Amino acid sequence: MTILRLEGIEKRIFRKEILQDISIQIKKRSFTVILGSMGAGKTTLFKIIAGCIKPNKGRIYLRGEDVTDLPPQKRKVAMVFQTFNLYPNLTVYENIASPLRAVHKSNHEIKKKVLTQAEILGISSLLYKHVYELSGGEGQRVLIARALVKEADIYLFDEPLTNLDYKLREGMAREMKNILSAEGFEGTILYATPNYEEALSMSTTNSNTILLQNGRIIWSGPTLSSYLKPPCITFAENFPSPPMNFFESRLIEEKDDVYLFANDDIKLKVTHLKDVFQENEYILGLYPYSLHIEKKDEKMIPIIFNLILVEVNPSGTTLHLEYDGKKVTGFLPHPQDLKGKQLKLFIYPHDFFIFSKKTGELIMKYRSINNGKN
Amino acid sequence: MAKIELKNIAYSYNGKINAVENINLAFSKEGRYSLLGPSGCGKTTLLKIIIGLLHPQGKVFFDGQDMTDTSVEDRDIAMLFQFPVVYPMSVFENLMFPLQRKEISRKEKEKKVLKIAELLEVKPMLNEQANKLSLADAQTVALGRALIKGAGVLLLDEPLSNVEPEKRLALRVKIKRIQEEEKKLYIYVTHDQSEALTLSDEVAVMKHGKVVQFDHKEKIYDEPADLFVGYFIGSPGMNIFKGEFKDDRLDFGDFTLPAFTHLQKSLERHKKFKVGIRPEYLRISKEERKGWIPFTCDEIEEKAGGVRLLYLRSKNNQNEIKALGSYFDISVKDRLWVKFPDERVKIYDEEGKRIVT
Repeated sequence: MTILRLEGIEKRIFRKEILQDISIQIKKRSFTVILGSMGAGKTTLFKIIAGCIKPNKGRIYLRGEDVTDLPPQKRKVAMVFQTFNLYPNLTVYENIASPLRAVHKSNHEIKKKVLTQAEILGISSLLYKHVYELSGGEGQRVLIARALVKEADIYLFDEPLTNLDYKLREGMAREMKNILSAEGFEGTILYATPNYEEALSMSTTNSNTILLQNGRIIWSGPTLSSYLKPPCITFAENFPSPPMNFFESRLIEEKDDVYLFANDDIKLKVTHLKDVFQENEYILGLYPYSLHIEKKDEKMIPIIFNLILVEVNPSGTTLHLEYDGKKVTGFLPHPQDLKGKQLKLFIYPHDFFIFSKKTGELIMKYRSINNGKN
Repeated sequence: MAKIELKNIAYSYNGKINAVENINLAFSKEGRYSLLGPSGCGKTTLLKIIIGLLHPQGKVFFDGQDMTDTSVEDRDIAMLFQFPVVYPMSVFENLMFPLQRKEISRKEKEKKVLKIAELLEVKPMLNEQANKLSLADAQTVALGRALIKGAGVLLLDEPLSNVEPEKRLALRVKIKRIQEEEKKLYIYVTHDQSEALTLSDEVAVMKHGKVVQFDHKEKIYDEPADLFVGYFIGSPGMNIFKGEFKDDRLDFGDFTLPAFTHLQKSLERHKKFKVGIRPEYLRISKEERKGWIPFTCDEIEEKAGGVRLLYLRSKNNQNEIKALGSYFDISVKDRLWVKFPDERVKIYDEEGKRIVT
């Protein structure tokens, strides 16, 4: 059942187009990630759904009912902002109860709801503590409880983890996912984040992602598949961190064979695929983690890079390289330091993604033999 | 000059609780060090003690000479602060400023300025007003000014945290380049492990005012001396679980591991202990193998970078571990066999201190 439907939403602020042509349908009890960098329009979209601001064009339907002209308090929408603070002078119980007090629920009803919500989130033992006694993770759970205690058709989370330090964020993404998929939780969730890694860790087999870029939806679909099969260049250069590397290439013929030629190192034989390639120019994409330090077999192409900086990260090593006058990023799965001015790395031809230069869309992932499928 | 030793350093702001205590560190000449820890761990206090802004208990030695009572100006130190400090004058004049009182010719001063400007790529902006630059450019100028004095020690106090995120990389590259070109002692203070591991060779990890490990950065990662280090460094951090030494084996309730002979003596004294192992060092098989431990896959978290994080549960749900790797053929609820490679299993006492191996 569709619980939320947006039709052709447009929003301008001071003549600047913030959102354009936004049409989406959200199913009941589903989990959707809105992924977009800063300024993509995520918060504006949420404010429109919640009713805090009105769109210039388009309609909003909740449970099939047109709510475009209804004020926020008449919509059953709950919103959690990134700068959402707990009341420091109140207990956990009173913090969670506060949205219910605001709408004058009876004490009896408040108690019932607070206790149930605390039970679901595993924070029953914290209810009579003061906010300053909580650890960062506990505080975050109380925030979520306070958002969820309000009965709503749809819950909007606007970058709820952005202000946490990375150690806390690590655990919280999983925790949030567990809460939101727990039994007894009936809400529908829209979750906005600029962080692709977070979108991936929040993703479940049936979660969807909507990619927002400059106020437009550029893609929507299952979260994981967007990584394994990046839909277009805009996606691949903006979301994965570090972003994909690109190499311009053109179709050339040599004797009886056809190649996608970027330079003397990167030259992919596409004779067997030539029906696929109708244009002259293509962009080759390569994920940073597809650059390897060891040569594993003969299929790998060796390339020598200038080494600009070795950045040792908690989950691996980012290599900032220069090649053919352009910046290239590599990522090695283990934190390690490498020395020297140059570095020889190896890549597999089948790790290249081929995008159309004209449209930016993904044509295919390269394969050296034709297996009949496209 | 440039060798610094801290001996039995302690400092308290209110006379009761020590902000730092029991600090014994030696920074050798031309080394690249960092002080790494979460906020409130005492790293900035320690930095102030090194510069001479705070007067501690204990002794501070520069090249073997007691400098504990020496004032800031008389220590051979330059410093770069969190927030870029530039004077409201041109970039050129900013860089000239520290040379004012130096008794060298104007020509030589200009030569020095140009050399630093070249190295830091600020030559095109020499005539611009320094206080009107972007944060990253202003910080670059501040770095140049700190360098031009030619001090033997450069302290950097979270110099990137106020710089625009998209410009941090360029400044990191410059700091790294400076470290290679200008030989001196560098001490870099940060809460960001990427910066510490990228911009230094030796890392002092701090917690609650104490240094918990002072080691080469690779050892910090692979041989954490303390479980806090194992957890704090790396994302995800180390797997940590409790065990007991029973019948010559490491007993974890629903599975056991052999105790290496060299450990047995230490374990006699620490019957109860904790084990730490990094998620990427576990080995996983879908088929049963001798000596490997059965686990069930509880959940899979997708990570960028071609890897997945598996949450695994032991037979009777007594232990949970995380494994990181390119496990794309594994699904939730799969039964898996896990190998704990001997050399990767680190043993700690109940307080989290490494039991010597």
